[in-house]
Amino acid sequence: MTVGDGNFNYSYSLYALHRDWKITGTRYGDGSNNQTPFPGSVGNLKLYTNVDARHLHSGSITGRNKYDAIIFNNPHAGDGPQTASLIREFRASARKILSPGGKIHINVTQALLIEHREAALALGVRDNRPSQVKKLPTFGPTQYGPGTKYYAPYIPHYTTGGEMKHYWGDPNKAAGLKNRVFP
Amino acid sequence: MKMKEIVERIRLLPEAYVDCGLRQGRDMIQKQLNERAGEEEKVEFVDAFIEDIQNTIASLIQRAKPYDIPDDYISFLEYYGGLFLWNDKYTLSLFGTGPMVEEWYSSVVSDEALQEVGQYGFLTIGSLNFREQHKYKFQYVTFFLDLAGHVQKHCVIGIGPWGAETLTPLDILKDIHAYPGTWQKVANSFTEWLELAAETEGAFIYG
Repeated sequence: MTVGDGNFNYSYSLYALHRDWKITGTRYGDGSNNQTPFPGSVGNLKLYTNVDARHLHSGSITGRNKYDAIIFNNPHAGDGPQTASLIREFRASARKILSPGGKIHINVTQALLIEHREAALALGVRDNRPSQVKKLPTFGPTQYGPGTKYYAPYIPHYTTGGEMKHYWGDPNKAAGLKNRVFP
Repeated sequence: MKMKEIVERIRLLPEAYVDCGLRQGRDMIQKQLNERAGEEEKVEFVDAFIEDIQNTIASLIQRAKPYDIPDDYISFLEYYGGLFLWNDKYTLSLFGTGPMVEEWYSSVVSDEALQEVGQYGFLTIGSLNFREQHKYKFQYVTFFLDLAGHVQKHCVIGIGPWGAETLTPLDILKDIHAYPGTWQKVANSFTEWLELAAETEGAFIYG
Protein backbone atom coordinates (compact mmCIF):
# COMPACT_ATOMS: atom_id res chain seq x y z
CA MET A 1 0.00 0.00 0.00
CA THR A 2 1.15 3.50 -0.73
CA VAL A 3 -0.05 6.28 1.56
CA GLY A 4 -0.40 10.02 0.99
CA ASP A 5 0.33 9.71 -2.73
CA GLY A 6 -1.48 12.88 -3.77
CA ASN A 7 -1.32 12.54 -7.54
CA PHE A 8 -0.58 8.77 -7.49
CA ASN A 9 2.65 9.33 -9.45
CA TYR A 10 4.59 7.07 -7.15
CA SER A 11 1.91 4.37 -7.17
CA TYR A 12 1.80 4.29 -10.96
CA SER A 13 5.59 4.20 -11.21
CA LEU A 14 5.83 1.37 -8.68
CA TYR A 15 3.14 -0.57 -10.51
CA ALA A 16 4.93 -0.07 -13.85
CA LEU A 17 7.96 -1.84 -12.36
CA HIS A 18 5.97 -4.60 -10.66
CA ARG A 19 2.86 -5.56 -12.63
CA ASP A 20 2.46 -8.73 -10.62
CA TRP A 21 2.23 -6.89 -7.30
CA LYS A 22 -1.17 -6.08 -5.83
CA ILE A 23 -0.82 -2.42 -4.95
CA THR A 24 -3.33 -0.30 -3.08
CA GLY A 25 -2.55 3.32 -3.86
CA THR A 26 -4.06 5.86 -1.47
CA ARG A 27 -4.14 9.59 -0.87
CA TYR A 28 -5.43 11.80 1.93
CA GLY A 29 -8.17 13.55 -0.03
CA ASP A 30 -10.68 15.34 2.20
CA GLY A 31 -9.42 13.77 5.42
CA SER A 32 -12.70 11.96 6.09
CA ASN A 33 -11.18 8.47 5.87
CA ASN A 34 -14.35 7.27 4.12
CA GLN A 35 -12.02 5.59 1.56
CA THR A 36 -13.65 5.85 -1.83
CA PRO A 37 -12.37 4.43 -5.13
CA PHE A 38 -10.51 6.94 -7.30
CA PRO A 39 -10.62 6.85 -11.12
CA GLY A 40 -7.51 5.47 -12.75
CA SER A 41 -7.18 2.01 -11.22
CA VAL A 42 -5.54 -0.42 -13.63
CA GLY A 43 -4.77 -4.12 -13.41
CA ASN A 44 -3.43 -4.94 -9.95
CA LEU A 45 -3.25 -1.27 -8.95
CA LYS A 46 -6.31 -0.08 -7.07
CA LEU A 47 -6.59 3.61 -6.18
CA TYR A 48 -8.50 5.17 -3.29
CA THR A 49 -8.92 8.68 -2.02
CA ASN A 50 -9.93 10.00 1.42
CA VAL A 51 -7.58 7.65 3.23
CA ASP A 52 -6.19 8.91 6.52
CA ALA A 53 -2.70 7.55 7.24
CA ARG A 54 -3.44 7.65 10.97
CA HIS A 55 -6.47 5.37 10.72
CA LEU A 56 -5.52 2.75 8.17
CA HIS A 57 -6.33 -0.13 10.47
CA SER A 58 -9.93 1.03 10.88
CA GLY A 59 -10.54 1.98 7.26
CA SER A 60 -13.26 0.21 5.28
CA ILE A 61 -10.76 -0.63 2.51
CA THR A 62 -7.33 -0.44 4.09
CA GLY A 63 -8.42 -2.27 7.24
CA ARG A 64 -9.62 -5.32 5.33
CA ASN A 65 -6.25 -6.74 4.35
CA LYS A 66 -2.71 -7.29 5.55
CA TYR A 67 0.16 -5.74 3.64
CA ASP A 68 3.75 -6.80 3.02
CA ALA A 69 4.76 -3.16 2.85
CA ILE A 70 3.15 0.19 3.60
CA ILE A 71 5.04 3.10 2.07
CA PHE A 72 4.59 6.78 3.00
CA ASN A 73 6.72 9.27 1.07
CA ASN A 74 7.32 12.74 2.48
CA PRO A 75 4.78 12.91 5.28
CA HIS A 76 4.18 16.50 6.27
CA ALA A 77 1.51 18.08 8.45
CA GLY A 78 2.29 21.80 8.47
CA ASP A 79 5.02 22.03 11.05
CA GLY A 80 7.60 19.93 12.88
CA PRO A 81 5.54 18.84 15.91
CA GLN A 82 2.48 17.99 13.83
CA THR A 83 4.58 16.09 11.32
CA ALA A 84 6.12 14.11 14.19
CA SER A 85 2.61 13.28 15.46
CA LEU A 86 1.54 12.22 11.98
CA ILE A 87 4.52 9.89 11.68
CA ARG A 88 3.95 8.33 15.10
CA GLU A 89 0.23 7.81 14.51
CA PHE A 90 0.82 6.44 11.02
CA ARG A 91 3.34 3.94 12.31
CA ALA A 92 1.00 2.83 15.09
CA SER A 93 -1.87 2.31 12.67
CA ALA A 94 0.13 0.71 9.87
CA ARG A 95 1.71 -1.78 12.25
CA LYS A 96 -1.73 -3.29 12.85
CA ILE A 97 -2.25 -4.22 9.20
CA LEU A 98 1.16 -5.60 8.30
CA SER A 99 1.42 -9.20 7.23
CA PRO A 100 3.96 -11.35 9.12
CA GLY A 101 7.38 -9.98 8.26
CA GLY A 102 5.84 -6.92 6.67
CA LYS A 103 7.52 -3.53 6.91
CA ILE A 104 6.63 0.14 7.09
CA HIS A 105 8.72 2.38 4.83
CA ILE A 106 8.87 6.14 5.26
CA ASN A 107 10.97 8.15 2.80
CA VAL A 108 11.80 11.77 3.61
CA THR A 109 14.11 14.60 2.62
CA GLN A 110 17.31 15.17 4.54
CA ALA A 111 16.04 18.68 5.31
CA LEU A 112 13.10 17.29 7.26
CA LEU A 113 15.38 15.14 9.40
CA ILE A 114 17.86 17.89 10.22
CA GLU A 115 15.36 20.74 10.67
CA HIS A 116 12.80 18.95 12.84
CA ARG A 117 14.25 17.11 15.82
CA GLU A 118 10.94 15.64 17.00
CA ALA A 119 10.18 14.29 13.53
CA ALA A 120 13.67 12.82 13.32
CA LEU A 121 13.10 11.02 16.62
CA ALA A 122 9.72 9.75 15.39
CA LEU A 123 11.67 8.31 12.46
CA GLY A 124 14.19 6.65 14.73
CA VAL A 125 17.02 9.05 13.91
CA ARG A 126 18.74 9.96 17.16
CA ASP A 127 21.78 11.66 15.66
CA ASN A 128 20.36 14.19 13.22
CA ARG A 129 23.51 16.15 12.55
CA PRO A 130 23.74 16.80 8.82
CA SER A 131 27.05 14.94 8.63
CA GLN A 132 25.34 11.80 9.95
CA VAL A 133 21.98 12.10 8.25
CA LYS A 134 23.62 12.24 4.83
CA LYS A 135 24.98 8.73 5.43
CA LEU A 136 21.56 7.19 6.12
CA PRO A 137 20.28 4.66 3.61
CA THR A 138 18.33 6.00 0.69
CA PHE A 139 15.08 5.15 -1.02
CA GLY A 140 16.79 4.23 -4.27
CA PRO A 141 20.35 3.38 -5.35
CA THR A 142 22.79 6.17 -4.47
CA GLN A 143 26.31 6.54 -3.06
CA TYR A 144 24.75 5.74 0.32
CA GLY A 145 23.41 2.32 -0.54
CA PRO A 146 21.54 0.05 -2.95
CA GLY A 147 18.09 1.39 -2.09
CA THR A 148 14.92 -0.56 -1.40
CA LYS A 149 12.78 -2.90 -3.45
CA TYR A 150 9.97 -0.36 -3.19
CA TYR A 151 11.89 2.35 -4.98
CA ALA A 152 10.32 3.70 -8.15
CA PRO A 153 11.31 6.92 -9.90
CA TYR A 154 8.78 9.69 -9.49
CA ILE A 155 8.63 13.41 -8.84
CA PRO A 156 7.61 14.25 -5.26
CA HIS A 157 5.21 17.12 -4.69
CA TYR A 158 4.63 19.39 -1.75
CA THR A 159 1.31 19.03 0.07
CA THR A 160 0.52 22.48 -1.30
CA GLY A 161 0.85 21.08 -4.83
CA GLY A 162 4.09 22.23 -6.40
CA GLU A 163 6.87 19.88 -7.49
CA MET A 164 9.51 19.45 -4.82
CA LYS A 165 12.57 21.57 -5.48
CA HIS A 166 15.66 19.72 -6.67
CA TYR A 167 13.60 16.55 -7.18
CA TRP A 168 11.45 17.96 -9.98
CA GLY A 169 14.14 17.90 -12.65
CA ASP A 170 14.52 14.13 -12.87
CA PRO A 171 12.25 11.42 -11.43
CA ASN A 172 15.37 9.43 -10.54
CA LYS A 173 16.26 12.12 -7.99
CA ALA A 174 13.68 10.56 -5.65
CA ALA A 175 16.28 7.85 -5.06
CA GLY A 176 18.03 10.32 -2.77
CA LEU A 177 15.20 10.51 -0.24
CA LYS A 178 16.22 9.02 3.07
CA ASN A 179 14.61 5.66 3.82
CA ARG A 180 13.40 4.60 7.25
CA VAL A 181 12.03 1.07 7.82
CA PHE A 182 9.98 -0.20 10.74
CA PRO A 183 8.43 -3.56 11.67
CA MET B 1 28.09 45.20 8.59
CA LYS B 2 27.75 44.20 4.96
CA MET B 3 25.94 41.03 4.06
CA LYS B 4 29.06 39.30 2.75
CA GLU B 5 30.88 39.90 6.03
CA ILE B 6 27.87 38.66 8.00
CA VAL B 7 27.55 35.46 5.99
CA GLU B 8 31.27 34.77 6.19
CA ARG B 9 30.98 35.17 9.95
CA ILE B 10 28.11 32.66 9.96
CA ARG B 11 30.13 30.30 7.78
CA LEU B 12 32.75 30.08 10.52
CA LEU B 13 30.26 28.84 13.12
CA PRO B 14 30.42 25.14 13.98
CA GLU B 15 27.97 23.07 11.89
CA ALA B 16 27.11 26.00 9.64
CA TYR B 17 26.00 25.13 6.12
CA VAL B 18 26.03 28.02 3.65
CA ASP B 19 24.86 27.27 0.12
CA CYS B 20 25.59 29.15 -3.09
CA GLY B 21 23.40 31.09 -5.48
CA LEU B 22 23.21 32.26 -9.06
CA ARG B 23 25.59 35.15 -8.63
CA GLN B 24 28.42 32.83 -7.68
CA GLY B 25 28.34 31.43 -11.19
CA ARG B 26 27.43 28.26 -12.99
CA ASP B 27 30.59 26.42 -11.98
CA MET B 28 29.85 26.87 -8.27
CA ILE B 29 26.28 25.65 -8.72
CA GLN B 30 27.52 22.63 -10.68
CA LYS B 31 30.13 21.88 -8.02
CA GLN B 32 27.52 22.00 -5.27
CA LEU B 33 25.09 19.82 -7.23
CA ASN B 34 27.87 17.32 -7.93
CA GLU B 35 28.71 17.24 -4.24
CA ARG B 36 25.08 16.52 -3.43
CA ALA B 37 24.76 13.78 -6.01
CA GLY B 38 28.16 12.23 -5.33
CA GLU B 39 28.83 12.27 -9.06
CA GLU B 40 28.99 14.62 -12.04
CA GLU B 41 25.54 16.01 -12.72
CA LYS B 42 24.29 16.09 -16.28
CA VAL B 43 24.71 19.42 -18.03
CA GLU B 44 20.99 19.49 -18.84
CA PHE B 45 20.06 19.10 -15.19
CA VAL B 46 22.42 21.88 -14.08
CA ASP B 47 21.06 24.23 -16.75
CA ALA B 48 17.48 23.39 -15.82
CA PHE B 49 18.26 23.83 -12.13
CA ILE B 50 19.72 27.30 -12.72
CA GLU B 51 16.69 28.28 -14.78
CA ASP B 52 14.43 27.03 -12.00
CA ILE B 53 16.25 29.17 -9.42
CA GLN B 54 15.65 32.22 -11.59
CA ASN B 55 11.99 31.28 -12.06
CA THR B 56 11.47 30.61 -8.36
CA ILE B 57 12.82 34.01 -7.36
CA ALA B 58 10.84 35.75 -10.10
CA SER B 59 7.72 33.87 -9.05
CA LEU B 60 8.27 34.83 -5.42
CA ILE B 61 8.52 38.51 -6.38
CA GLN B 62 5.32 38.17 -8.39
CA ARG B 63 3.45 36.36 -5.62
CA ALA B 64 4.39 39.11 -3.21
CA LYS B 65 2.58 41.75 -5.31
CA PRO B 66 1.27 44.34 -4.50
CA TYR B 67 4.15 44.39 -2.02
CA ASP B 68 7.84 44.54 -2.75
CA ILE B 69 10.38 42.12 -1.37
CA PRO B 70 13.37 44.02 0.04
CA ASP B 71 16.50 44.00 -2.09
CA ASP B 72 18.75 42.61 0.61
CA TYR B 73 16.66 39.43 0.88
CA ILE B 74 16.62 38.92 -2.89
CA SER B 75 20.37 39.55 -2.95
CA PHE B 76 20.86 36.88 -0.32
CA LEU B 77 18.86 34.33 -2.32
CA GLU B 78 20.73 35.25 -5.50
CA TYR B 79 24.19 35.07 -3.93
CA TYR B 80 23.87 32.40 -1.25
CA GLY B 81 20.71 30.42 -1.99
CA GLY B 82 20.04 29.45 1.63
CA LEU B 83 21.74 28.39 4.84
CA PHE B 84 21.39 26.20 7.91
CA LEU B 85 22.86 26.17 11.42
CA TRP B 86 22.86 23.07 13.65
CA ASN B 87 23.79 22.64 17.27
CA ASP B 88 22.71 20.41 20.13
CA LYS B 89 20.05 22.88 21.31
CA TYR B 90 18.39 24.15 18.12
CA THR B 91 18.58 24.44 14.36
CA LEU B 92 18.11 27.56 12.25
CA SER B 93 16.96 27.24 8.63
CA LEU B 94 17.01 30.15 6.22
CA PHE B 95 14.73 28.80 3.49
CA GLY B 96 16.07 29.15 0.01
CA THR B 97 16.60 28.18 -3.59
CA GLY B 98 20.17 26.91 -3.88
CA PRO B 99 21.65 23.54 -4.91
CA MET B 100 21.24 22.14 -1.41
CA VAL B 101 17.52 22.94 -1.17
CA GLU B 102 15.57 20.21 0.65
CA GLU B 103 18.92 18.82 1.77
CA TRP B 104 20.18 21.53 4.15
CA TYR B 105 17.05 23.71 4.35
CA SER B 106 13.48 23.86 3.09
CA SER B 107 12.54 25.62 -0.11
CA VAL B 108 10.98 29.11 -0.09
CA VAL B 109 7.99 27.46 -1.82
CA SER B 110 7.78 24.34 0.36
CA ASP B 111 5.06 23.29 2.83
CA GLU B 112 7.05 25.17 5.49
CA ALA B 113 6.35 28.54 3.84
CA LEU B 114 3.26 30.70 3.63
CA GLN B 115 1.91 30.44 0.09
CA GLU B 116 -0.28 33.53 -0.04
CA VAL B 117 2.48 36.11 0.25
CA GLY B 118 0.73 39.00 -1.48
CA GLN B 119 -2.59 38.27 0.18
CA TYR B 120 -1.26 38.61 3.73
CA GLY B 121 1.81 40.76 3.18
CA PHE B 122 4.19 38.41 4.97
CA LEU B 123 7.01 36.33 3.51
CA THR B 124 8.32 33.26 5.36
CA ILE B 125 12.11 33.38 5.50
CA GLY B 126 12.98 30.60 7.91
CA SER B 127 12.48 28.78 11.16
CA LEU B 128 14.23 28.12 14.44
CA ASN B 129 13.50 24.62 15.77
CA PHE B 130 14.38 23.68 19.33
CA ARG B 131 15.75 20.31 20.41
CA GLU B 132 15.02 18.47 23.65
CA GLN B 133 17.92 20.10 25.55
CA HIS B 134 16.45 23.58 25.07
CA LYS B 135 13.89 25.16 27.42
CA TYR B 136 11.51 25.34 24.41
CA LYS B 137 11.84 21.61 23.79
CA PHE B 138 10.46 20.64 20.32
CA GLN B 139 8.81 24.05 19.87
CA TYR B 140 9.64 26.36 16.99
CA VAL B 141 9.67 29.96 15.80
CA THR B 142 8.78 30.91 12.22
CA PHE B 143 10.32 34.11 10.85
CA PHE B 144 8.48 36.40 8.47
CA LEU B 145 9.43 39.52 6.54
CA ASP B 146 6.71 42.12 7.04
CA LEU B 147 6.21 43.28 3.45
CA ALA B 148 3.01 45.21 4.06
CA GLY B 149 4.10 47.10 7.16
CA HIS B 150 1.57 45.49 9.48
CA VAL B 151 4.16 45.91 12.25
CA GLN B 152 6.95 47.86 10.49
CA LYS B 153 7.72 47.69 6.81
CA HIS B 154 10.46 45.15 6.01
CA CYS B 155 11.07 44.22 9.63
CA VAL B 156 11.38 40.56 10.60
CA ILE B 157 8.97 39.11 13.12
CA GLY B 158 9.14 35.75 14.85
CA ILE B 159 5.93 33.87 15.61
CA GLY B 160 6.37 31.48 18.53
CA PRO B 161 7.94 29.68 20.24
CA TRP B 162 5.18 27.13 20.27
CA GLY B 163 4.49 23.48 19.54
CA ALA B 164 1.57 21.68 17.94
CA GLU B 165 -1.16 24.22 18.56
CA THR B 166 -4.75 24.75 17.47
CA LEU B 167 -3.66 28.10 16.04
CA THR B 168 -1.29 28.19 13.10
CA PRO B 169 1.07 31.01 12.09
CA LEU B 170 -1.42 31.87 9.34
CA ASP B 171 -4.14 32.47 11.96
CA ILE B 172 -1.80 34.94 13.66
CA LEU B 173 -0.77 36.67 10.43
CA LYS B 174 -4.37 37.27 9.37
CA ASP B 175 -4.86 39.55 12.38
CA ILE B 176 -1.49 39.99 13.98
CA HIS B 177 -2.40 42.67 16.48
CA ALA B 178 -5.13 40.42 17.94
CA TYR B 179 -2.46 38.00 19.18
CA PRO B 180 0.14 40.18 20.90
CA GLY B 181 1.66 37.44 23.02
CA THR B 182 2.43 35.12 20.14
CA TRP B 183 4.98 37.12 18.13
CA GLN B 184 7.85 39.60 18.48
CA LYS B 185 9.68 41.95 16.19
CA VAL B 186 13.15 40.45 15.97
CA ALA B 187 14.93 42.83 13.58
CA ASN B 188 14.30 46.01 11.59
CA SER B 189 15.45 44.44 8.33
CA PHE B 190 16.53 41.16 6.79
CA THR B 191 20.21 42.17 6.97
CA GLU B 192 19.85 43.08 10.63
CA TRP B 193 18.17 39.71 11.24
CA LEU B 194 21.07 37.95 9.52
CA GLU B 195 23.54 39.94 11.61
CA LEU B 196 21.69 38.92 14.77
CA ALA B 197 21.84 35.31 13.60
CA ALA B 198 25.62 35.62 13.35
CA GLU B 199 25.98 37.36 16.72
CA THR B 200 23.74 34.92 18.61
CA GLU B 201 24.74 31.82 16.62
CA GLY B 202 21.17 31.49 15.47
CA ALA B 203 19.46 31.79 18.87
CA PHE B 204 18.29 35.44 18.48
CA ILE B 205 16.23 36.50 21.51
CA TYR B 206 15.14 32.97 22.29
CA GLY B 207 18.25 32.04 24.22
